[in-house]
Amino acid sequence: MNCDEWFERLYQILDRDMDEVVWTDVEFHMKSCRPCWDRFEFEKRLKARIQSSCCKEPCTESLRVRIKALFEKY
Amino acid sequence: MAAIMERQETGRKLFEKEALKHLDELFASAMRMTRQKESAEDLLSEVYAKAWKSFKQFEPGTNLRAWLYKILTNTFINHYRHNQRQPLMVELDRPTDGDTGTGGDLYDRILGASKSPFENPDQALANRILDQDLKKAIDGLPDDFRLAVILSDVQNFSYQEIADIMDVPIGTVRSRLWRGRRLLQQILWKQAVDAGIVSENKEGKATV
Repeated sequence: MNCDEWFERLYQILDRDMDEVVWTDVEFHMKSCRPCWDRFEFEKRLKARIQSSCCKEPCTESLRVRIKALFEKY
Repeated sequence: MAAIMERQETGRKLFEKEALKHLDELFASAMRMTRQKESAEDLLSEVYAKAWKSFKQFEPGTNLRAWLYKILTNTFINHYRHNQRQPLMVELDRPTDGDTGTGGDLYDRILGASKSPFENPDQALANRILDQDLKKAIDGLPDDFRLAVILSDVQNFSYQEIADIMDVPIGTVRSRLWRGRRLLQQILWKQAVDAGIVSENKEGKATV
């Protein structure tokens, strides 16, 4: 596997969306190629940052009241 | 009769308790979908009303969270996407290859801009890009890409779960994520340039 082939699979690698045989190939490439390894580490960090910054937002009190009222209604 | 009513009452309470556990994360997702607090509130209120009306169809043991997200996504697509204010579409400096999604993204550009060993893409991400920058960048994505990014990167659903929630083939999920993530990085780069965190010289080369 060369760098271009590796890069085509970047996001499937990030999400582990592949079978074990292909995974072995991409892992082998990554462990012997510094630029691809660095790229992978960056994408992993970016994904983690997106998750931590956006995954929860406290629901407003007015919405909480609306939803509880819905539960009473039905 | 009393026993049946009691069982229904227990089911109600259990449903309320379980469904409310997901309220904050559903609100966060609704905020990123609609980009506005009032619309996010209206959307979620509708989602919970729908979920509550059909909770008897919900089979215990199946994934309540994924079920709520399916209602959220469908309601958004059917009722909200046409009414919302348009995303702030960024003018990308270089044309993007539609098939590969190539075109200067955050990583390549920072890497190209690095002059000292102390500033690399990882450090830029850690030290210069704020949470609000990430939210704003997601808000700038077109609907289909934004939904895929929210469900995958923000809420961590698997490709198969996203395919079920969005009701599209798994290959479509892959391609939307690919394009969505590449575009997100281009938007992040554009934002960094606009904010003066990085600058580009005449040749299009960047300096951090």
